Amino acid sequence: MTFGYILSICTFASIYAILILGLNILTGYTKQVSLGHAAFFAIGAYTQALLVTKAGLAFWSALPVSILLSMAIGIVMGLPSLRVSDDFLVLTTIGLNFIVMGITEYFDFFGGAMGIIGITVPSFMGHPLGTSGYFVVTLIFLILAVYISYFFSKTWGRLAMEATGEDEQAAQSLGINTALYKIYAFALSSAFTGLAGALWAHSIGSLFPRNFSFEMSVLFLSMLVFGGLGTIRGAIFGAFFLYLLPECFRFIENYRMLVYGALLTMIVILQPNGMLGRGGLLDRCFLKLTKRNTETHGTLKIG
Amino acid sequence: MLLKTDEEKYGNSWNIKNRVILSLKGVKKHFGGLKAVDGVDMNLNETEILGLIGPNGAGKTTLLNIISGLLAPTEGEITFNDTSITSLPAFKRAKLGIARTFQIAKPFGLLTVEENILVGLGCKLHGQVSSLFQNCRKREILQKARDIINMIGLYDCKDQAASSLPIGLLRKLEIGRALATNPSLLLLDEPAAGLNNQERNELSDLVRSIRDKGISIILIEHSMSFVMNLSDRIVVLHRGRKIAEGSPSDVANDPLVIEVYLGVKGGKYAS
Amino acid sequence: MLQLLADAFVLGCSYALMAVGLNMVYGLLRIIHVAHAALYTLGAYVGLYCLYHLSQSLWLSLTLGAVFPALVGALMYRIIYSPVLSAPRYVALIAGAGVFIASQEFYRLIAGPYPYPFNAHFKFISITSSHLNISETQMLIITFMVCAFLCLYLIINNTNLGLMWRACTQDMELAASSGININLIIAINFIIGSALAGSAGVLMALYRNSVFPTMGAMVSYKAFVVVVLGGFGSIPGAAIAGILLALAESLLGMVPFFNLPRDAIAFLVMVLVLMFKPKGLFGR
Repeated sequence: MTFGYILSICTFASIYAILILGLNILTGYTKQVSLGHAAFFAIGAYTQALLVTKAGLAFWSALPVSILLSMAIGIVMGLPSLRVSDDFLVLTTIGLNFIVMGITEYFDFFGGAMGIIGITVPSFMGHPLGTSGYFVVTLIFLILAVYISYFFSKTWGRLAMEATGEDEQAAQSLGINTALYKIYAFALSSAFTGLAGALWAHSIGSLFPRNFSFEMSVLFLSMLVFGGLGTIRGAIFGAFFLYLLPECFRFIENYRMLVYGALLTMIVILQPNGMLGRGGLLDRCFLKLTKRNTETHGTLKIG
Repeated sequence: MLLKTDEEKYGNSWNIKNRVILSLKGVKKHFGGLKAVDGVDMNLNETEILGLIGPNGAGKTTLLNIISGLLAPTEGEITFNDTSITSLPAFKRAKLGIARTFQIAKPFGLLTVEENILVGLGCKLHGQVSSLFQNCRKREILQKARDIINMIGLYDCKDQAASSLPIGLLRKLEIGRALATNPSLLLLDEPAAGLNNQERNELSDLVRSIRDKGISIILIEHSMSFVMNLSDRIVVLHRGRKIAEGSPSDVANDPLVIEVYLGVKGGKYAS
Repeated sequence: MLQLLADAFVLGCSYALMAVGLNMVYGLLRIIHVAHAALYTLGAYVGLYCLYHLSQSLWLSLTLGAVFPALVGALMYRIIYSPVLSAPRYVALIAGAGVFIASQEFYRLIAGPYPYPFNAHFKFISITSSHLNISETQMLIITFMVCAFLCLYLIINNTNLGLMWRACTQDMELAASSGININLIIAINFIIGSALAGSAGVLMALYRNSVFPTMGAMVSYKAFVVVVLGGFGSIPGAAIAGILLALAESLLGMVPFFNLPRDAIAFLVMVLVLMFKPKGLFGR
């Protein structure tokens, strides 16, 4: 367990946190379940990798392109919601997952089944970044993502998205174009996820189509649901906790997906607000503790 | 509580403006073979309180859904403020000034009471890209929200999640949220259901004060005393058709209406 | 050419068998039953177990491969879906996804990730001619699908049970207050749908001569496309759409510049249907 290794897993955890913050906007606020977010992750990663290895662009110039392309495809994915006002949208996300996997495997342009290797370490001001340097970069992006998420949570947009997710008819009767907000949610969500993908490509160094599978999409969903749908703290907690879990408990490495799948089912049935979501398990414990404090304070004052 | 005489009630009838704010022509809604609404013509005057009554299955809620835009009519025209809104989706009608409550309250459960009201306040802003960047918790807006929360009497629970409220308060929240959109037409779907007498009286006063602000109201209600005492005019639906229209006392004495309701006589609903 | 169509038809039968189970659950509960795929794979593995440990005969494998998933399917409803029927829709969706993923891993851990061959013995008719060869397996699949759909059609339209089921799909509350035992109807619904999925698993294991943990994923996705294409809630729609999709996959793959991976066609079909005819061909 070297220092480099610890930095590396912290980098990955931060990348997943950025991703889950994005997923939170779509599935947490707007309640559009995405079972294909690995696709946006792949789009960000592959775009970045191709621009850097084949077009020779630098990390910093390729990054905005990866984000924007991911966002564009996210908008396209949201378009069916203009006609369909149900949770059939989840099927298109599953399809996108399969399609992206299929395309990256089928066409040699994307490296086919052999994938893309040799994604270089990015440099900053001419100095190549080491593991610690890259971790700092990732951390900065995470802080940026948290700030943007926090800022967004105070806007009209977030209210409209949550209204859309809670009750579409009521939302429409209050002036909300629910289909449009679903598209906005897709756009923002895929932008975050594309960023995460691009960062991931450089961190891991090589990409293979099989990585971005349906199982990965379910993993992302478990992270969000476990942490707490609809909250920033839940998104970050879920990402870190579920990513670091197999690192700490090595023996479950082989049973990872079984644990994630079972956990997802149990959590969503028993504790749909997750651990740190509004009304979630730890959230309620925390509230109980603080209430008890104020109550004792109260009686002390009176007495 | 006896039914007030027309003079006692219509003391302020001169306040009802003669302008027609909402007009329905030949509205039909067929679900396959089922004719939920079968050719309804109706007008609503500005600042009027119109009571929409009829036995179960008469098509009242369907008609309301058509007016608010959640259902598209199979046939017919709807005009609001002299513009045709027949093909407009619900959210556009909300922006034009049509607001509604639902028979079974539909609060945004995970949001607080205050946030529910905020959603209503943002009615005109929703949809624009700028809404993704604009802070909604500015002082003026929060103040407006608090005004509405005070008016409906929910100040004590303004930071509670809406899902934790009892039904009586949920109904008030529904109305407050609809009012936050600054409507000129308010559609109330059975707002008094499940309320006790005191709550009903409060609701009556609230509805009158809403009308006094210049808002026109269509009210569906099963409680006869409630709707008869509150409405300026009544429309009676039966099997999707309008069978009577007029002042509450006229309608109450209409033999066809009495027959349809089977045994409801003159002062019997004064309960 | 005719051979191509026949092969596609057979594939379409497997899509249809999977899709009908999904349609039945959606029609009744308005839930997108993502875990349905787990039952397909379960059927195949149960059939495999029969082959290795009980008898080389296909018929036993097929029977047990239908019965066991049927029971598991009903159990799935009891444990996973019934507690969350009144919760927001995404809860059932996510729960189903979790079950599906967990089940795939479960099969992998028990039976290993590598495909097993499926050698069953059976006698059935086949068609051999100069233009067209339909093997015994293919005939079996086609016959099974046709019989299954006919039976289902007859049950739904001509029996009391079917009447009760139709009532439940229209309005569950009204049906319950009319004295219909809705829990029984739902259980039967899951039993039949899961049995068909399990049998589809056995049949396709036989057809492809392989059983592996992730065999359900792609079929299940295609089944969803079929449900969208045929129309949610329409059982004949599932049959017709299943065949249509398989035909489209085969035929479009032949068009010269349509150089997309085969599975992409299903996705395209679904997106197009959702954009332009969201109710599908026969949907309600």
